[in-house]
Amino acid sequence: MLSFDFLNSLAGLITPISLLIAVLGVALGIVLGALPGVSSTMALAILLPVTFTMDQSNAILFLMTIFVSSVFGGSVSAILINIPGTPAAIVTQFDGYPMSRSGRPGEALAYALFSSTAGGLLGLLILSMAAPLLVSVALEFKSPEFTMIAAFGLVLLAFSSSGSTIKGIIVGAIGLICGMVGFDMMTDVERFTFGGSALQSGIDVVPLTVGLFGLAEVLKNVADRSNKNISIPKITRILPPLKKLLSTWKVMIRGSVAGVFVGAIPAAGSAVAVAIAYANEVKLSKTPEKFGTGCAEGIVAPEAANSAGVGGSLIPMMTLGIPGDTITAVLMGALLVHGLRPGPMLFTSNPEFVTGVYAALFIALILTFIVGLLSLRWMAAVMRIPTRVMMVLIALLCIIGAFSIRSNIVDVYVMISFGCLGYIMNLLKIPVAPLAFGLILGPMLEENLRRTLMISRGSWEVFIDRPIALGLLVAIVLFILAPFIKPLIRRIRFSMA
Amino acid sequence: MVKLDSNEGNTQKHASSMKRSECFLDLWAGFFFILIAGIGWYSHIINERLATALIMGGDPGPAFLAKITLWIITLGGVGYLLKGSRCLSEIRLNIFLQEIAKHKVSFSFATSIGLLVVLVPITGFTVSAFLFSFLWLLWLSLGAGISRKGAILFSGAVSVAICIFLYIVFFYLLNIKLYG
Repeated sequence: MLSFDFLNSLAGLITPISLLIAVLGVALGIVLGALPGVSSTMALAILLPVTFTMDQSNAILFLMTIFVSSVFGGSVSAILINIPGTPAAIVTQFDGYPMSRSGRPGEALAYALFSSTAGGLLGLLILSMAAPLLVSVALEFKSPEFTMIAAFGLVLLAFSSSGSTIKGIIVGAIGLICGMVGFDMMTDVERFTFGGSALQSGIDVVPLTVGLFGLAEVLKNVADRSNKNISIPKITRILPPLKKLLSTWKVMIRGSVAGVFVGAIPAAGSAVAVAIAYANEVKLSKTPEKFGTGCAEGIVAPEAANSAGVGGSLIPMMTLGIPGDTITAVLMGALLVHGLRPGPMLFTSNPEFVTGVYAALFIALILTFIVGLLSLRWMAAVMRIPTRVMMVLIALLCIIGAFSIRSNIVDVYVMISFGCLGYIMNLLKIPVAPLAFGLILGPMLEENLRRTLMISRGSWEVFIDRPIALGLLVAIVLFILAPFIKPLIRRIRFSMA
Repeated sequence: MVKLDSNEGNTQKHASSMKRSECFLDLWAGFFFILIAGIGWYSHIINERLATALIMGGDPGPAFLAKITLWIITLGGVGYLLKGSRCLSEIRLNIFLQEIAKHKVSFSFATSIGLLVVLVPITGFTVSAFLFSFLWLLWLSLGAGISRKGAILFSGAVSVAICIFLYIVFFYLLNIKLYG
């Protein structure tokens, strides 16, 4: 049934217009992902307004192609100039750059491309198998469980964000406040509008994410006026010997499995997945000393994990409505703009959307492979685009992106404010991502909490009476207390020793 | 042995400098959170309807979660302020101003974006975008060591290309009204 629906959705997306959109998305994704300083999150955030005039299926296709291709694009600069385009490509440069320096840049890129495609397809397969199982459990959830899931997601994402957990939780709370700006959905009372009309319609997720992940990065990079002379290798031979490529299939599978499962853990992210995949290969290798000198396995494992992580990160977003990382937070914001709220109900109310996402992901992976393979020789040219040109262009795209969501100039000021806020927070080493998570999960948390309390006539016992809600509550408390418990245990151990 | 002592000394110095830097970060984070909480509380207090919103049935009302989150931010801010308070005496205005000055380019860039948005209703988006990109590219190109003539030509050509690209994609193809 699923395979028939999948083929149906796939057929619906194989039209000249859709394929043109997909190819454009792939090309833009690879270019943006390859540019140092432009992450996949930023690429998605600044290109989001392009989808506003598209229908739902083409919009999802475009966003998926950018997501998948920018993940691969991140490895291009890691391999060619030793600067990862995206944080998850850091591990790829360990072996990718040495291979490139030894005169085999095309081969290194080809290893990355093949393993990225294989990992992505395996991730998609696991996503399509795991999601219905998780949804069948999630469909039994009622308001108390959803309250706890939203709170748990928020705490977990704050816990795993860079920097301190407590700071992450406080920033998550700021995100919750941002989600409350405007009219309260149940009583029509205004909140945090300062009595004016500018903020009555609330803070949209797009200006916030464009500001936090787009403009804040531009502000960080624009201060660097130096003209770096980077030597970019010439790409000659592309394909590695077939036998050599096929011999890495076990590494590809191990990397993909690590990627999809670690990627599925909210907030673990692909950066953790690639590190685990790489470390695992070093441990399993008979010649671990070769790692770091340009060995193929050192490229294949992290790239397969990185790409498989795309499918993994979509699991919590699609089944529970919790964004697994910043990229899926932006993606979720984009889906909300298109009137789609990911979560278990979507599987029953709009199953075409689910198969549409699978089909879009499949096309994105295949097209990234084809476009990537055809353009490998010219990829080095992307590195020659001066950073200052990209920064000015991205700043203008941020303005257009923030404005186009509701044709409201206030959104542009909101975007600039969050850009400055994100810049200051980066300086103070305060994690920014929980702000976006708070804004997205806040309405889900508040709505379900108040509904639960209305049904239980104000009794909080309902969260203890229901086992899943109680389990999540215990987990929340443990995660919050973890930063205090850890030093305490260390101190007790030290005093005992 | 001497080398070992020197290494130990360096490690101790490094650890102490790290601790000091962490202390300052905590202090500023505390100020930052308190400032945000202050803005939130101010908006909450001046909103009479929210302050008097009644608890209906079991619904704790629209102010309930808002107050909890504001308390989290406030207490967190106070906590970090206390944690970093031992550095309070080390704050010097001139050093603080020097630190701020390091970020003048970034904040000028953000301010110029704000000015661009103000200019849009007067000159239209294309002209404002051209001015913005030309001036910034010129300044950044001169900073990158390119000759004045080369920088002017480069900035002009790239700015025109950027404006044409944005106009075609966002106005002509996507009909975004920012240009209107």
